Amino acid sequence: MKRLLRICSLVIGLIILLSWAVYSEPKEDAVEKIRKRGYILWGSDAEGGAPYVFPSPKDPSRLIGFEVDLAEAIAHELGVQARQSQNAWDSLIPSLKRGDFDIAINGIEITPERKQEVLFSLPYYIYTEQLVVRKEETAIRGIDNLKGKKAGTLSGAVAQNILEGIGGVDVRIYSGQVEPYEDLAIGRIDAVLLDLPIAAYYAKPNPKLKYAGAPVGRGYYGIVIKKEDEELKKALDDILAKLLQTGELKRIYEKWDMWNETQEALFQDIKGSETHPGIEESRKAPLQTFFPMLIKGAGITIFISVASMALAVSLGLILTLLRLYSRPPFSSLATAYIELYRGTPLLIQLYILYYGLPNIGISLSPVAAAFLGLGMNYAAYEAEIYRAGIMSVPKGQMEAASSLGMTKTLALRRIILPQALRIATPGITNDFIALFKDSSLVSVIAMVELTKTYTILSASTLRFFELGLIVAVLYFAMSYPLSLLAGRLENKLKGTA
Amino acid sequence: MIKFAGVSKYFNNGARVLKDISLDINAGEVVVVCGPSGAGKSTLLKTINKLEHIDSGEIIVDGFSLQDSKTNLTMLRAEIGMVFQHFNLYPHKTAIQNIMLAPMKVKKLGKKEAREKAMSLLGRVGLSNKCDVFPSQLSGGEQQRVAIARSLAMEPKIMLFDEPTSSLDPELTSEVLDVMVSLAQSGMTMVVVTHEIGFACNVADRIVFMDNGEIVETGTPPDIFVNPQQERTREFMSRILHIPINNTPVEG
Repeated sequence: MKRLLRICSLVIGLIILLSWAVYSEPKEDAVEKIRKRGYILWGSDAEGGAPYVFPSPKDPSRLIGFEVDLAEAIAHELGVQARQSQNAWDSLIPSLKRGDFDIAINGIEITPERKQEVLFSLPYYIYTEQLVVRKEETAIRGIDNLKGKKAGTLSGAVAQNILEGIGGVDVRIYSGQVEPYEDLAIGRIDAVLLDLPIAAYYAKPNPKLKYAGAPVGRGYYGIVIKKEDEELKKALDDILAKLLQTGELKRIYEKWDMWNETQEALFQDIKGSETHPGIEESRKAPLQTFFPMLIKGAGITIFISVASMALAVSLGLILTLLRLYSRPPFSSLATAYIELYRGTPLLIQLYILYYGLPNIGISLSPVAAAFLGLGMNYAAYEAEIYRAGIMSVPKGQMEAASSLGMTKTLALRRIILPQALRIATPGITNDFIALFKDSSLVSVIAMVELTKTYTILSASTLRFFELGLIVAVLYFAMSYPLSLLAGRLENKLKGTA
Repeated sequence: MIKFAGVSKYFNNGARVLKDISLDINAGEVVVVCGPSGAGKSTLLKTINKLEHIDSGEIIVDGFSLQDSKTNLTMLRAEIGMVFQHFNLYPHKTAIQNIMLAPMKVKKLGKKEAREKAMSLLGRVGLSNKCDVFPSQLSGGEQQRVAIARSLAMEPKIMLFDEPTSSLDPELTSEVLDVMVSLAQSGMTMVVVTHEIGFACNVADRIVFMDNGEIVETGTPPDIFVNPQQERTREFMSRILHIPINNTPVEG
């Protein structure tokens, strides 16, 4: 009876899920809908930072930024309120297409490949890319000097295309705009190329950094609108033109210290918006072209996983032995380590290792931080698996060994641990599979492994689906053999125990 | 050889498991300890090689006080063999590896020498053909004989047996007892916790009857089994020998 109920609820759940997936809203004028609702929902990433959209330093619960002002001006013209919807910058367009919000305003450059996915309003800002270097840098005076250097930029930004177009530049991809400048200041990279508004806000006030050369490239920020919302686009274009003519837009930019002569062009070539030929080919490129990058990412994933698991199993053993057999200060330190690492998120640990330690003068490379972060975190879990294994070895084993004159150390090494490890093996292999997938978290510290390769590739080509499937298959192809191995090990150990 | 002087031990909850035990065991003597379960027999046995600590009193083994911090405990333990109720063979090692490990690692015997010795001991307990078999593939009786050989490999002066046959089927018991009898006949000092009355009668020089953490009485096998002085001993013996107690007449 219980089982029947469970099956029924499963089926009903599936039907609801399916119907939700298939159901599409009846066509309705987006402008009408927004007016009726009383507010316009605009998507942006507050993590993306100043001066676009960011938490007010005075009241972090309130968002400010020139795009907040712009959104409010637009909403005012529409006669509605503006409500911000937080969404990771990388996935603003997919989320918009899914219907999470009406429009996206977040320094999104108008590019041909994006225009195939969504509509853009008239441009509301002309940006240029500014190269930033360390104060003492003399060799890099412009993007032409970047060959053989390490240059950082944002994932999916136009600057990435420019850097990759130069050739021979070691391009480092970041997901936030603070981190590249931090890494530049401490010498992890040699230069950062990012949109001028970002440089103006984050790099200009930093005494350790300076601009290198004049801004390069030119592009337009546009408001992103769903492909079917033609009326909304028309309405927004009218509003932007009005804001331009009344000087409201200029007032906003002056408030944020973003006005420059370049913006005068908004009045002239308000129609032209396709200055970056960029990577249109990648949109239609056959999938094979992405394989080398994906395979390389998978290789890095394997390398990081194996290396950090090796650290985890050895450090974990030391921790367990300290916890179980050492004198008080050490045993409680080991216990504290285990509890601390199990009780805090891996992501936070990685951030502290990579972005936090430089504050106290320790700067780790991405590989070292990823290796230590994953390894030290999993060591805590391995320690507990070992401990369970040791505890489950019968007390008589230690008694028998002691009665034969073995010291505790000898008995541990020869009698207790070999048995405990057998018991622990399935748990350890299981954890290895988990670590393998958790290794995707190190993408936050500028490690371009498989997941990061995926987000970078799909952010620039918008082929989230196909690439996502390929990446999932790659992960599975790597972890399934591990599962098989774990199963085989388990059987084998059952035989001899 | 073994001397208990006023030995007491408490459990964490304050209950006393050993009450003021005093006992002398001479070299070459075979002593059988019996008594109801929970009497403290196993605990008493394990204090001899300090697998159990005591709270007061003193135990002297082969002239060394276990309570003296200068006594080298591992050295002393190597001289005291112990056989357990549940054998406690190392499950991840073969029979011969079980026997060879301690001589090689503790006595630093060469591998060849250790192997020869292990083989001869396996022969002595009648298991020459089982040397490369894992414990899980041996019967209980065979496991216990390997365990005895493992203890003998350290050439102990004293052998302790903690209910060596009580987890064995009756038909497997005798093969273990045979080994123990021949060991006793070779002059080994033995302390045996067991309920095997036949073994006790044949081999034991002395029976120690314990109840409730104290020694109730000691004596030769006939003294204890046939003519016990204490009420508690009499009661226990009649129960394990299934003889009705004569001083509780059945009213008609």
